[in-house]
Amino acid sequence: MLRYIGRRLLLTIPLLVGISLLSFLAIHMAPGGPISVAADLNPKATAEYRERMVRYYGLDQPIHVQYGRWLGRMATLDFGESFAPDGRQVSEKIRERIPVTLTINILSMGLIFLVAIPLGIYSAVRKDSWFDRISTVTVFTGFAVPTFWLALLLMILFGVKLGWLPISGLVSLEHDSLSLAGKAWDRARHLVLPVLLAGFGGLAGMSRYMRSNMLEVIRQDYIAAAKAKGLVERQVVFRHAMRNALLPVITILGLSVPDLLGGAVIFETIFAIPGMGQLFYQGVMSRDVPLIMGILVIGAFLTLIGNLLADVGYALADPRIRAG
Amino acid sequence: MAGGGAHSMFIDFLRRLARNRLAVAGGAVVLFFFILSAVPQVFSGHDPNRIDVLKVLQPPSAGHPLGTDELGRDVLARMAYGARISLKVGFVAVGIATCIGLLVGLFSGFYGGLADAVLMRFVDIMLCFPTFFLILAVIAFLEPSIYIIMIVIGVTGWMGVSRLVRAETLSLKERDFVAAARAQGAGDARIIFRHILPNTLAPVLVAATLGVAGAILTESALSFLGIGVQPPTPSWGNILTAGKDNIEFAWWLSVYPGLAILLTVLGYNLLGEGIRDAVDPRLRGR
Repeated sequence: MLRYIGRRLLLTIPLLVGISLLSFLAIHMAPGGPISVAADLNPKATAEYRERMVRYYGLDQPIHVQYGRWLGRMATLDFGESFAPDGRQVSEKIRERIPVTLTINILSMGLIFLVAIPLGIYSAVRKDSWFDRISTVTVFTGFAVPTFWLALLLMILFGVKLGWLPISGLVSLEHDSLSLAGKAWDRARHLVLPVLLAGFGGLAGMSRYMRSNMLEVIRQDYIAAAKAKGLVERQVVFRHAMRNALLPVITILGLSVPDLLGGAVIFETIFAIPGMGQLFYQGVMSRDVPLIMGILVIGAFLTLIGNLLADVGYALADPRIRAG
Repeated sequence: MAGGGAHSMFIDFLRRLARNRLAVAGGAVVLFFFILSAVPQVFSGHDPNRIDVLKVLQPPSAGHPLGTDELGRDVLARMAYGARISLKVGFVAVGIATCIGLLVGLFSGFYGGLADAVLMRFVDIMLCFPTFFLILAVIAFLEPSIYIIMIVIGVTGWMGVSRLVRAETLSLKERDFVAAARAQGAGDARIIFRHILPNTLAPVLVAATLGVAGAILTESALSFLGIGVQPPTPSWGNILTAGKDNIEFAWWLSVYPGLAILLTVLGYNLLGEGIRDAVDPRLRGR
């Protein structure tokens, strides 16, 4: 197992180098190079500031030295200072935003797991029943729904018409004056809609995926054998079929990281949630180059980690992968 | 690849497609929005850009079946003209992505070796960046316009197609008909474009149909965030932005454009799935 993980880790090295190369090129391909973008967009681009930028990007150095420095900075996650008026370190800004985005995404993955898997299994076991048909139509509609639109509708329904749930931010204005239980309840209420929406796209995909896996497994001989030896359906489904149908789901969860991150930009902007997605959106709107590059690279790292976890998780669950 | 054979294969394909009720429904929706975008004036007599300060945010009525927006413009007219923009973006973006994907996939699969290794590692690296992040990052440095949006969505969306085409090419180039063409003295270009390319088109068509749905969703999300199609040019996404700003008093601004996006995307998805089943029954149910 350790050897497998080691081999798998080695494979990510060329990808890391590729990510660094591509992002390095992107910075230098920006019209006029990094300095001119910085100078055009940043009101405090004084001569001294330019000087600092030249030194920071090492633009007075040969290109391979510049790349070497960029590589070094990426390794230490040092993306320089944000162009925003506060001028803080990009890495620091990202660090304080990541937990929010990750928490919401992990909660929504949990939701996907809890809802999509039973749904997929039941649809497969009762294939072509009314339940299966209705869930198939729902899933297809689910694929097509623009998440930001659904967010608007839910905001209108639960926030404006019914007034049940808050529609912006992570906590209420009076959060600090609440008791401990009140604080927890307040946070939970703010999380309901974002978590639901972050998971929505995955919900449709995962239940569909689970259904087709399950259908595939049910056709296998060993399921027929289990039935033939007189096991009740519940045992066949949960003990024999489900375990094998669940295996590929591990992979899908790991591979869904980039989509979840992309989705975070949308729902964090709509619900005014101070996460990495909102930070990225603000960076794009103000053309904050160091911030954009920083989040882009961090996003790629997180995707890589997701892929890695998917492979390792799969290998842990399925000995055939380790051997192969 | 005789002419008569291809012709009857196509008829066969259409017949199979017509038997699939969901695909036909999807096709009908797609067709409806095509007509809407071709002749929007038939669906609404109003000028989509005519501002009327006396009719701001009016709920749906006989004069304005889908109401008016924050500047008193007719929502139905804006949606009809917006359909044109959304479809244009969807098709051009997917066209760009498909062309790049086809060329990379054919080249990579046919020649193999170092070129293949380099191109496929490049695809791996591109796939490491969350696509939506990549699109936003590029747009940050450019003035957003409908053309930039098309190009950016296209240039960040070809990786899947290239993997698909490469895999097909790898198996196709070992087939007898390629060896036969080679024996007749056909050059690489002729083999790639006349013999291999046509055989990869079926899965590419499926991917492209589903891709249009994805591109329309992406465009509407970008426009909704204010970095896609810029007002006053109408797009389904930017009408929804107005819906968000007036969420407490004008539900119709939020409901209808989203419904249009939903139906269009659903239509392309159903049609795409239908085409997949009709071209290759073996793939059914995947």
